[in-house]
Amino acid sequence: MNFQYEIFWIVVSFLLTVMVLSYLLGDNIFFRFSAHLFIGLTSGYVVLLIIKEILLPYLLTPFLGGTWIERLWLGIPILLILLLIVSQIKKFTWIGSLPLAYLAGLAAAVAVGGAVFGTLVPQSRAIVDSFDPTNLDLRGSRSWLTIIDAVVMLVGTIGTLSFFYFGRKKKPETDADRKKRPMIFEGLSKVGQVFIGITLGAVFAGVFSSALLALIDRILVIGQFITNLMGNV
Amino acid sequence: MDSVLDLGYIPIGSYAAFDLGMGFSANWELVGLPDRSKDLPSDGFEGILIFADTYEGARAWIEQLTTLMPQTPVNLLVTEQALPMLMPYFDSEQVTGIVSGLNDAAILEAEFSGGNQTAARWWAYQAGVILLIMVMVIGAIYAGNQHEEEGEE
Repeated sequence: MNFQYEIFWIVVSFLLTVMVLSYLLGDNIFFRFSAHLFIGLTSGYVVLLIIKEILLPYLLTPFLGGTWIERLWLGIPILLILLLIVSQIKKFTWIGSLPLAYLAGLAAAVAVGGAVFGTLVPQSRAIVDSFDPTNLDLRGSRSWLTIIDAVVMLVGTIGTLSFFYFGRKKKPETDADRKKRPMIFEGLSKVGQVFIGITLGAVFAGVFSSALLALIDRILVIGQFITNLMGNV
Repeated sequence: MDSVLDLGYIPIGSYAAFDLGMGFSANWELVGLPDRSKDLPSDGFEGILIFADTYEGARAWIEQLTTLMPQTPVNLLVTEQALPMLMPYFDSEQVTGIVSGLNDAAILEAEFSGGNQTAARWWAYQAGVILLIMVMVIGAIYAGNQHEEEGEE
């Protein structure tokens, strides 16, 4: 029984892989079928996951079996959910702004807090630390490499930040000047462009590498399936 | 490592990471609030391993956890596409270790299992990379020629 079950899923996975790869020959019904199947399965899975892993254990079960004060706390998200549902009716669209404002405010607070204390401050500190003479002494013969590394990092950071500076000249002399940034930012942004280009290149190489490995894995699955099939014949 | 705790599915990266971090770092609690962190170990984690296929997903967790639980080592197991943007977190020592891509997988395999799962993929991977380089060079030459022809016209 288990063997047949396993064989069934191997065949399904083989067929779906071939259907997806058939896109190489152009858009066709097999590719579209597999794409729709994937979207449908994902949607269904997410809905079930949310009900089973979030709504039931964190909201409904404690609400039904909790103390009065716990129910009072859980009444807040339930009320917000109800407001969102009611806002789908055209007459009561305005009601949805309350839960949406709450979500947007919370998202901004968590994201900004994380970005500042989890990225901006530690990354800035890392750049400052890389110029720390105490660290250089510890690294001995590699100290010059460390200094060069730190300088490149500093130039890259300042250049990239300058690229995203959208200010204008204080006292423009011509009309063209009105559209230009101050000279120093113009120069630094050119340097920043080089660093951004290198970063995007590295990201592209990573995306390609990941996609290539996924493709290799699928081809290996197909090869293994055919080999097993031929072996059994 | 004595035990591994499976927290199940945790929705929405940054909120969940914030909630997890606050569960250990906050020294206040709201009276009567249903206990969300009853399954968490009282003395925190020995380390946290983040699996991620994108940079954004991993960053959301790193930002929250390294801020709220700075004493807990955070390690990453990520795809190669997420690696370049996550390296600064390793350089700044916010992240203790990263495993990413086929090269790291081969090193780990040689170290721990001695199998040949990565070897089967290695040659295909190299062939794919060489093919990409060739396509890019041919594309650049072809695009350059076409640009010149358009300029002449």
